[in-house]
Amino acid sequence: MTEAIRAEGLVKTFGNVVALNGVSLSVARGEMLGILGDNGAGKSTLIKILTGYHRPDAGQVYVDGKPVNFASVDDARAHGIECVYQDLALVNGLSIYHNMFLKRELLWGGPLKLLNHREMRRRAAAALAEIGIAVASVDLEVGALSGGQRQAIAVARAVSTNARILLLDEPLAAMGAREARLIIDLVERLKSRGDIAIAMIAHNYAQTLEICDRVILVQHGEITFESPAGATSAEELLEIVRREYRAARAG
Amino acid sequence: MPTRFLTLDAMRVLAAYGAAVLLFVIGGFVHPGFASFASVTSILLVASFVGLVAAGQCFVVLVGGIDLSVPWILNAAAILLATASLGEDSRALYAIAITLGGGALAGLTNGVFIVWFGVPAVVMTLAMNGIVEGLALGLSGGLTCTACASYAPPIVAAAVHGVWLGVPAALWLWLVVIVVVTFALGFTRFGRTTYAIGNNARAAFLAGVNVNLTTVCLYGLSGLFSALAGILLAGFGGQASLGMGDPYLFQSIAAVVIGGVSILGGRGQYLGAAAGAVSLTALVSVLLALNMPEYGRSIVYGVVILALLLLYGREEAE
Repeated sequence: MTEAIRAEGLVKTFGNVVALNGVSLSVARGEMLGILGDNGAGKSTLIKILTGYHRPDAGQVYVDGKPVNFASVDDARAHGIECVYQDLALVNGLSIYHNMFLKRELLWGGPLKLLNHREMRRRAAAALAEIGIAVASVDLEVGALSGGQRQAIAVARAVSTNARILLLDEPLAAMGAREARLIIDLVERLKSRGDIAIAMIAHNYAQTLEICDRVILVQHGEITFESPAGATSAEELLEIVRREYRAARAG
Repeated sequence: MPTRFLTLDAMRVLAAYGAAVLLFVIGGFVHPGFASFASVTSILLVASFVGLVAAGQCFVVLVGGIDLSVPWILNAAAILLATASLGEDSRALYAIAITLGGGALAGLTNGVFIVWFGVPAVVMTLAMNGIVEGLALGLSGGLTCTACASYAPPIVAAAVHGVWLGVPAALWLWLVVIVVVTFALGFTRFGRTTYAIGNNARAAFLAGVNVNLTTVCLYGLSGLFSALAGILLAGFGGQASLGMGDPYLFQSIAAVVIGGVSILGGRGQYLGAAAGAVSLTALVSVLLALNMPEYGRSIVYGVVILALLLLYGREEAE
């Protein structure tokens, strides 16, 4: 499998808080990496560096083997990196298709640059159908959808732009079993396409091991454990975290 | 999921137009001649001034802001038009240009402080209203300076009073503004961006929208529209006067609310706000026809706004 994104020795501090202390990772095309860890371990900071939201104090990110320095979220997006944030970053008061084309609206030719609503509707519907998401109409306001459907729209928006690296920040948080299944199926279909590298932040060890090919455990801004999903278990991961917790209490 | 024939937004716009028509009908019963063509045109002409200010107000309310600097930007614009032109046609273009520029500059300043210095919109625009008032009064010596005696350039007055195809020129201008603003909000990227910011600024930012720049531009537009209304009012009345902008703060906000634009931002149409301006002006005219004194009218406006905010807030909660 070819490597899509790689990070080496990422360091990020906020004031005197060290959020990341030398984190290195890589994700290949068609691979799905699970990023586990407690709240405040540095997972979100890691994702935010990869999306260009934060700039690392030290370390280097590589896309397709080439070093990149993202100046902004737009810049990272131009390199094919899309992120679905925990709070989805959808505009509830706008329709599905407006959300899917937010900031990259399709325009009619000509000097007036008017919006091409018809084409945006058509393409939004096609993009949703392609990844197997059923909605009654792309004119529905996003606020009227269920949590799972909103998550699906957010993922659809991310991949409809030919994203090659998809970052998911707790996509299954606060979701019922049926809703979670919708998203897991969707992500697995994307993975099986083989052209997208996916990294997912998650809390549920068993679920993550089931979906992902490989998992890493982030603690105190460092990667303390890494394993193919098949070679470890939720119990082993829990034990590492427990041991760490005991050590912290003793220390 | 319940399907609606019309969206909530569209129903509100229609309701605002319905209210306008209803008020004209009531006025026709109360006062014969109220609904005549001449009377309706003159009411629409008055509404056009409110409508232009409301265009700017609509922009900032759509991103969840508010512009309280409307009264004195409008008033200072009228004074600036007269003093810069000295009532001469040859200087009219120059005067109009610096007046519009001044209005836009005041609006942009509002936006800059709101966006980059984090000053709440209410505080910033209220302060700007005071600052512009002070500047206008101070520089004109309380409107006693020699240049202050100037009338608006005759060409501006003639343009405002001019009639084309039986309709006053100011109304034509408003019609153009209605079409342009409606298209800008509904059919351009700028419009989508505005709604997105008003709904969820963080989501808009994460999607790559330049939230700060857009917001500053919207406040700039509000200043520009207030100045435009000031120019037209100076042309309409012939001269600038102190306090001429005062009614427009309340009325522009009222027009926006009556038109169904959410006061919290992100929802609504200028087409509605324009209907709101007509309804409001028609309401004022009906109350005048009923010989209601000024204090009574003020109470009625207040009650109307409160009632609409309560009603629309309830609909959204459902």
